[in-house]
Amino acid sequence: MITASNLTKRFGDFYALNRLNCAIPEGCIYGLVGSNGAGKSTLLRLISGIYRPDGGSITVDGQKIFDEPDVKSRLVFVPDELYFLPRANMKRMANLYANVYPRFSFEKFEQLTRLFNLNPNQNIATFSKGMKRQAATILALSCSADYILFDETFDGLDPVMRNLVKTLLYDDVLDRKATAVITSHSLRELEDTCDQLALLHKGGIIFESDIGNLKTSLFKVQVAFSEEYDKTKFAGITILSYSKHGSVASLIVRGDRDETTAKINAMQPVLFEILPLSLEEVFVFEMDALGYEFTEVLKEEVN
Amino acid sequence: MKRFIHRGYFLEIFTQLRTAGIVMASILMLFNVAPLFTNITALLSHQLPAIPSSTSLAIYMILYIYVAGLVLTFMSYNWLNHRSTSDFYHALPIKRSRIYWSSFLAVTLWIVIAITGYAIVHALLYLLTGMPFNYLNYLCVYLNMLIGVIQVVGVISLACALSGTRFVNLFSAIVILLVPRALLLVLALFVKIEAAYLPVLRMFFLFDPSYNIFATPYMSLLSGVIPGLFGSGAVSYTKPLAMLYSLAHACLLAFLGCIAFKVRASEAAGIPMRNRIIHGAIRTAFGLPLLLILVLMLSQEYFLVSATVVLVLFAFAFYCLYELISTKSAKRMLLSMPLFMICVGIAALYLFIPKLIDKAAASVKANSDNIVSFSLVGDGETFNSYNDMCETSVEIDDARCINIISRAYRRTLDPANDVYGSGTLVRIRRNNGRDILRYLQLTSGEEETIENAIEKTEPFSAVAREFPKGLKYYGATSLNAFEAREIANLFKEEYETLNENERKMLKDWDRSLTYSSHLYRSYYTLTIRGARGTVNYTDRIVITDLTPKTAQRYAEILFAKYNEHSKDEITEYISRMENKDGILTNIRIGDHLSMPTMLIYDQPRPLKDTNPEYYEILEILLHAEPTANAAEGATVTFGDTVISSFYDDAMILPYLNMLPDRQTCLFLKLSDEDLQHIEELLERHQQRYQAYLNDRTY
Repeated sequence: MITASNLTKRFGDFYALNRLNCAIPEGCIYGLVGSNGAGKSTLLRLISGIYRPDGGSITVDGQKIFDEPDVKSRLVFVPDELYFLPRANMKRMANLYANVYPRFSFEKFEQLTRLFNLNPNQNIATFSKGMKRQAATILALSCSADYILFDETFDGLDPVMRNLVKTLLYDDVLDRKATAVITSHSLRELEDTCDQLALLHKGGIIFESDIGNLKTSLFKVQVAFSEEYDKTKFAGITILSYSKHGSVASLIVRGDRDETTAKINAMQPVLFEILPLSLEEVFVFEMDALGYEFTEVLKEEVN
Repeated sequence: MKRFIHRGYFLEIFTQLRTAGIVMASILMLFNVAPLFTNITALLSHQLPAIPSSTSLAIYMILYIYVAGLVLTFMSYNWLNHRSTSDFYHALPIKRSRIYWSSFLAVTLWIVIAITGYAIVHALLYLLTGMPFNYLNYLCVYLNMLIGVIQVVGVISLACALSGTRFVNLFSAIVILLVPRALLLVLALFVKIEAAYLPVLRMFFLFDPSYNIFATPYMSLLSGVIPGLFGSGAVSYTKPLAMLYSLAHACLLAFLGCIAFKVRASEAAGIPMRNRIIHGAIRTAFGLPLLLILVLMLSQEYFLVSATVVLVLFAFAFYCLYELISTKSAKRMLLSMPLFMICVGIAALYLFIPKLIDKAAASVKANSDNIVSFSLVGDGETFNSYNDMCETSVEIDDARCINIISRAYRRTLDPANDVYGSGTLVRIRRNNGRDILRYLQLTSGEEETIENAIEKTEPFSAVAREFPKGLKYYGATSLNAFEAREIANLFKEEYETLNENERKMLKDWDRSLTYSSHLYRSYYTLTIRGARGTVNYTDRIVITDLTPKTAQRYAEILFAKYNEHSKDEITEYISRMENKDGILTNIRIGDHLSMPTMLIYDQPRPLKDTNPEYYEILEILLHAEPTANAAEGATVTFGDTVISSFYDDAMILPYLNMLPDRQTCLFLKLSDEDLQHIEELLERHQQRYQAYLNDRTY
């Protein structure tokens, strides 16, 4: 488990992360979402041991990461700005990784290069942006690390390759109980990939939840009654948002779906419908509930 | 080893440096050709090639280590200056210290491979061409170079770890490697200016350029600006203590680099400087030099308001310029301005410290009653003669000589006496057990008395009797290396049979050749360049009729080689002079009669009118017959140099020190009367020349 406790990182006077706390469990795909400058990449660099924390701590299974090769060998990082050795082909890169990552698998490497249809002997500098991203992903996956950290992974990948990468990630998580940490400023990108999601804003995680829970515990209710009513009628139900147009009320409810259904059915509504929310809508309402203006947090980054 | 070096990472960096390493090593190999070409050319043209000195051996290696160290270290740590590369390497599960030492080893190994290859090829080339080579000296140079590699790579690694841009990396490296030593040397320079009698380089080991070899190439620049200021100023590559110091310095730098690398923030990539102290040091290094010139002017009581203002303003401008370039921030530049006072403070120290040292040194008493003994001290690694080399170890306790030293000491310290040149370096042993080293101004009479006293000592007498020992190379203008060796061997055989007085007469060759009846029959001189241990010396063999077999063999060789053309040669000289060709010519007869170098250029009148003595001497030579008989001949050497300078009159330049374009050596039959007459002509010529100089002056 990756645990950040009061994690602080500053660049001059600017706090990229300020007393951040989070826990990333094993065997999940953990999404980090936030606007530019929210601290996503900084957090990944701290997790991967590139940066030394200025305050607090970041650990993997209780062990510090910075300048600890044994811990770092369990982590592999694919940054947003990719770098390959000068004039290197994938084989040379693989050799370097094999020299430093004890569980690097050439078998997997060859299997993946075939799958992605990349020539391991070709100079990587001649690859397209998407191919370079694929190469970096192949190399990272071949390291068989416990934690795979992807910064803006899906940038430059076409939909087919995007799905392929996602599938490979799922396989890795399922087969090896690996953990993937993925950052993105696109909620939609992460919606169908991650098990858990955290929203970073101004150097702190302001919201963190299991996606399954998030989507099932928050839902939209449309309801109408024959008599006149207002919000007080729904006492005992946690309502995040309430609006009424004519006799039809729209509620955003947090809680158990069955319990809520039973409670409303007991009120004998003339119209009653439960609608699912998109992840983006869930975030809007959760943020609203926490006092954040969601559009401020993600601004135009949300697709 | 595994704790420090990561094999995979080391191999990766070593591979990355492959192209640059091979190209640069190949360039270094080409430099091998230059000294060899020079020496072989000299050998073929019968000029004496030197035994390679430490400096000449080291110079290309030093240059290479600087350039390759800079290029390869920058290449190996280039990733520190860009975010993407910094992330990539820092994310690798390798301990930072192992990354550092692996890179260090990769760079060092490439440079060591190159300089080792250079050293081996260099030694082999000397060996194969049969030229003299001081292997012990060379081994010392090589060991120093290995230490130097660690120093340079250490400094540049440290500089790379301190900053995140190439510009600041470079200046940090300059500051760390050169500035402390430069400050020390400039202080030594100022002390020397204040107190010329002090051998500053020997006073304090850090003033000695041999300590920290890689900070000293610019020593020659300083020596070049103010010649003789530091004595020989030569860097010694053979001092074990200096080597140990350099090694300790190198290790310190390398370990400091490791610490800086370990604590370096990865986010520094692309950021000029996080360490404000180093930043300030670089700015100070930029601002200080001009202020030091000002201090020099002030210390010499040479004060000009305009120069002071200009120097201070320029120093200030340089000081600020660095900040502007490195941080691109006018605000930071303005904020740093008050720190300019650090430069002023250091400059002020340079004004006062030399005066204090002078005062302290001048207060030391060395009177006849408190001097126990003294010895002459060699100033460098190359001596002017074998005897000079040996006499430096002789301790003199002769009362008369001690009086001389005591007088010379007082005279040297007397501010009323202007001191020219550095004087003779003397180690004075005092009765309080404290030795002092001083450059003393000795008159020629005093020098002679001391030399006589030295010669009377037994250790020196033994040395004086012996034929110079140690690795030797013989050279002569008219002979090739094999002929010179043959003559030298013959000479050595005959020398062994001479009595002590005769030997002494011959051993006096380095000072004066005043052996009366043999004045004109000193046929020729062979130069010896030798080495004992790591110390080099230059000496001479004078061939006279004291060694008749050698003289005879020499005459035969010369006769066989040159004499059939002798008349043509002399005629050609006269003709060229008469035809007003722009030539400098010098004629030497035997080893004693040397005609002043004479310039013939665009003369309005014939040679016999402008320089009748010269013309008459040429006429005597023209009528002399070639001979193979040593007893009746004398060696005549012509050297001429074609020049392009314009002079409005025929002019004589007696002390012009130029290597001739061409030298010809003849063996001609000249009677004692002829030689006597030539000497008279030369005296007359000298008087006329003096009158000519007086006319020009007044």
